Amino acid sequence: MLKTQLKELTDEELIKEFQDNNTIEAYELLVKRFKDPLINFVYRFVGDKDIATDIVQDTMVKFYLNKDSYKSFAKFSTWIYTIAGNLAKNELKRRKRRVIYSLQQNMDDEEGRSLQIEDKSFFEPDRVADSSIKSNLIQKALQKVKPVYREVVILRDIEEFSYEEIADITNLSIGTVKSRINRGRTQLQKLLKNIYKE
Amino acid sequence: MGIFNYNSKDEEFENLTTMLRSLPKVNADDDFEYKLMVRIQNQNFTIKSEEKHFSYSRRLVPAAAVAFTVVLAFFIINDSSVNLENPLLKEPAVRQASVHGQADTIEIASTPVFQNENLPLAQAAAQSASSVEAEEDDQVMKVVVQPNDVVAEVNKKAYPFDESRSLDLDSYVTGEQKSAAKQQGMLVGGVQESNSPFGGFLIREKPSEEAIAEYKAMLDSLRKAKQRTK
Repeated sequence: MLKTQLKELTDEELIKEFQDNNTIEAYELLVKRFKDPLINFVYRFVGDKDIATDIVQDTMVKFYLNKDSYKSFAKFSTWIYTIAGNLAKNELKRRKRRVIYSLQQNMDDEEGRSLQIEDKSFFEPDRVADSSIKSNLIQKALQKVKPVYREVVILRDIEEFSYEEIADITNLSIGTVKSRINRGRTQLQKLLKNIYKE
Repeated sequence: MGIFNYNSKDEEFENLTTMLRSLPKVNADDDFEYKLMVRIQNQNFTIKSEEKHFSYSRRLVPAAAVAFTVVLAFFIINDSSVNLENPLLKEPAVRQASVHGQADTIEIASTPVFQNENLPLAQAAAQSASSVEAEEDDQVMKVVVQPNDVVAEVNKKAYPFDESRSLDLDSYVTGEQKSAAKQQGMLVGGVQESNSPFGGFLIREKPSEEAIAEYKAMLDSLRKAKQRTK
């Protein structure tokens, strides 16, 4: 199959082509389509560009090696995001062993008060004016949200997946997904309280 | 009965979602695909994020230490349970077990220690030869210790007197002991010195005539008795 023809194929058609005929061009096209959204997702999740790049590389290698484990009834995007999400969670677990917990990392919903106190000193109004600093602060605030909530918030509000797709990616029920999204958003809103006032 | 509508919550967080969607997109590096394809061509399929690191085994260190301590404690406790009896209060082992049922014989022989310095060399040599003969025969002490620590036999001379210069009067009178001529000569003459380190006490005093007469009479009676026994 010609490369121009391949470009017109959907994700699911491309992986079928790669599965059936081992067409490396189909694989390359899928990598090209998904490398940026996956890096964006993983970067927002782990907070480090280099680590995110390594994780997405590993995701693509896993995709190459385990192409036959993909079943055609699922969306390719949810399948590849599931792989990337699992690798990202493994990375967080590894990092968790090394890094000493801070109070912020262990926070619960009841501990929101301590977060607000922290945030007042953290988010100075004059600094928030700059959009790049603002996005940096949002990223830092995201890192303080519990990983189980952070993952679904990123998938919903940044990657703009539907609840059903998020449920497929995370292997959770839709109700659990919605609940976690709301909890994550609440935590994030508390952390970004001073930015809203601007 | 109202159903909790999560979708209505989306409006509540509208500002937040807008803010999150406005975040700049992070893209892959330009050489991302090149690195990936090189990795695939080189068959380098090691997944870094799935590697097991040393930190994992370090987490097992406390558990390993506890396990080692338990094993060590087990052996220590086990050893002490075997040796519960106080060795100081323990009955000593029977000597029989260590000597294998054989009786011990301790022989203490007398050895010539002193030598008369006044004797000439030739006489001293002759004396030493005779003393060796006497030494071979004489045993000062013979003790037999049986395996049950019982002293079975003690053969000990009452006094460390030189037999060549002494005489058992009872056995002499009854004729049981016949002294050699040499011995008699020594008794009478007293020339030859003894090899024994102890020669008896010597009281220097001038004998009275009555005592001499009494001893002469005694000797005469002894001679007569001897002749009668012959």
